Amino acid sequence: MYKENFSPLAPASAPQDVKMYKYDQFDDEFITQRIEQLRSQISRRLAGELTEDEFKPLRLQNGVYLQLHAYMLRLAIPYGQLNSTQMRTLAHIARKYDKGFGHFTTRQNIQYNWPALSDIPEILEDLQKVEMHAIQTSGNCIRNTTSDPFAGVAADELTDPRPWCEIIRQWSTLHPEFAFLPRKFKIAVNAAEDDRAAILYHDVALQIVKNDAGEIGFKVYVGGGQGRTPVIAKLVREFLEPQYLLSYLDAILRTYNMIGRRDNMYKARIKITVNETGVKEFTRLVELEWQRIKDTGFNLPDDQKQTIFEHFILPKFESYQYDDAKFETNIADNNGFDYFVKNNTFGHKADGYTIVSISLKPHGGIPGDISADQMDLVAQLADDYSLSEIRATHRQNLVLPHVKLDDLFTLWQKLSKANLAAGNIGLLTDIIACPGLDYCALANARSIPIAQMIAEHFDDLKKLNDLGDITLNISGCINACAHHHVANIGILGVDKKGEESYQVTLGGSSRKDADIGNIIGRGFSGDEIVGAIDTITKVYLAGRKNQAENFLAYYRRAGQTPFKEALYNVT
Amino acid sequence: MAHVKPIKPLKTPVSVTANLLLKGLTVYLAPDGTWSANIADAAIAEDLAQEAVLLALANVTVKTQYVVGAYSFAVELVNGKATPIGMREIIRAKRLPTIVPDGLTPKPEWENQFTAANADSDNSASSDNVAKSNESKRSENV
Ligand code: HEM
Ligand code: SF4
Repeated sequence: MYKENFSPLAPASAPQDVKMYKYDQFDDEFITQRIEQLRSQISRRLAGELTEDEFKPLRLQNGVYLQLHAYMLRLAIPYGQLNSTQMRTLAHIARKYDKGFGHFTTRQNIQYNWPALSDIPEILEDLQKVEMHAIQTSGNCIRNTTSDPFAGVAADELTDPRPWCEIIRQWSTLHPEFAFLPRKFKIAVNAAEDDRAAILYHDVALQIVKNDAGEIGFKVYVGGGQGRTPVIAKLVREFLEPQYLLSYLDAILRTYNMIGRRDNMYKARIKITVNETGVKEFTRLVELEWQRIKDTGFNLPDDQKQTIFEHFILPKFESYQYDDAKFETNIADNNGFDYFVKNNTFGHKADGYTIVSISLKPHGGIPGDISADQMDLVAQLADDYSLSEIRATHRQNLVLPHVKLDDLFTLWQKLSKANLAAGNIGLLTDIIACPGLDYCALANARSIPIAQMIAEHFDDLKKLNDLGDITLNISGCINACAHHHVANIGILGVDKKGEESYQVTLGGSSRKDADIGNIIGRGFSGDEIVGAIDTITKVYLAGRKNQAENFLAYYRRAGQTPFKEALYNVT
Repeated sequence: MAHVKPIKPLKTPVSVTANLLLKGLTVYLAPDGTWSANIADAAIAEDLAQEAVLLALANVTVKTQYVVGAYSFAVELVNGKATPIGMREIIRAKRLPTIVPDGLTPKPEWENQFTAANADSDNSASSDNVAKSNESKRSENV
């Protein structure tokens, strides 16, 4: 939360040269008070002094939902960045208070599915020790700011977006004016060439760009979102000088707070406000407010900005001669390592290093789920091979951001032993799936078994690689937590007269070329859906010009007709 | 003469379920007003009047902070026992997802059947505080 000063210490567990934002005494005292408040609210609820209606908004303020089987606790992982100590704590919580596993979500958060209400203050105390909490993970406030999971080290980025995420995090945490917005509010920041954070589907999307003078600034988009009305965010400002980031965000949120609808929760998101007001008028209102507060309102003082940036100075990477020949031999000799290298690694800024994605979509696994033992292992591997750093991705995977190429093979071997080496990042089986009817009280149909059946059907890595770049996302209801609208192949679970049914959309994209998928036709039953996906992939394989034409490109060229013909025998 | 509304029959029999306030776990209302983890112990209502009685009974322990969010749901009778019809209640009755994660480490209190002794209930549900009937979903649309 925003305050005058904070200490520039690095976390004790991380090597000296890896810096992360660190809580100071103010943060710590605040969290202590907040946990005590929740403890007392729980006691009052149990004593009958608070009704459920009174208690529910209080627990939700702390990320505690009541789902189908039990309570669910959602924790924020700011911009998806974790250190190994935090990961070990997540493992400890899974083991001690839950059923031994956790679920990484599309918002770079983690959810526990079975905590007892009475254990939650203790869980939050354990989290506090590693500087984590569950504040603003629910409710009509500004939620966790998300970003590129490769931020800071991606070879294709302009600059590190994390300091800006951290500035937004501090500004938005407990911001008194924005604690009761018309509806939830999500901000995403990207600085890379590619968009790995689906920023255009956020209430505010900030793309870091360079202007003609070579200065860094923000391209600002507003009003993106998913849920029942998927909308691509609209451009409101070509270039915002970075020193005005907070006053501009203030102006956007203030405008939304003033004119956003509160009469109907389905029309309360800013995407509807922008749509009903018109983007031109909405922009005018924002600019008007901004001109008023731009120089007198709050903008981060330079010294504080400096301090925040210092937390994100990259470690000194080792300069060494890596063994290219050995690397090539390992690729040739080890089945699976080749695909792991091809799909699960990404260019790092430093020579001799790579960014490694750990797929949480092992064969037959549950997308995003990870056991406590696996969490501990990932923490150890982060200590041994990635300067103690880990990232969570919006595609429900994990990332070790600083791996030496020389260590890659050993890392892969260790991941393999723990069923964490699936080389399927970006392929069809890298499925995003929400908890669906297996856990979620809002669901219409199950997502997890569908994800599993599809993964079983497409288990041949060679064929998957031939299919290439393709995204498949499954949501258990129209709230679209699993981003089904923006997948190349989207699956939405619906309730058809008491039976689970699955509607398919094609052509969505959550990247730079953002697009919303179109419904292909009538839905499929749980028994039919794998066959339908199989047919869709076959239509693509038969129709593509060559392997370079990926699924989305083919769909954009060929349209729905060939898919409709094959799926429904219509000509 | 006062107009007497005919009692409407229910489309299917119903039972009453809730979650334990403290642990959040799924439980079913037994005929004696206690709660059980096992749906086979659930009381069954065949008409609206019986359903109202069960909901009133459930409400006694809603009011004593033992359970939360009580509602009735459709069941069919198999060997005289309540068996859920819809997938949502089938999954709840299992008290586990249909696909169980690898790392799942069950603790006894999660899996075992238990019959809860009702906390200090006085058995006199007031009609103005009766749990909502047939609430098809408890939604936390947040
Ligand atoms: C199980 C408890 C959950 C509940 C009650 C819940 C509820 C909702 C609701 C009501 C919406 C629609 C919001 C709107 O349109 O205004 C939504 C959207 C969303 N949720 Fe969830 N969700 C849950 C779990 C998850 C999980 C597990 C994920 C990640 C896998 C997730 C990520 C998202 C995302 C990314 C969106 C769409 C983005 C947006 O437009 O805000 N949620 N959720
Ligand atoms: S999409 Fe629907 S079913 Fe899936 S987690 Fe979100 S609210 Fe639940």
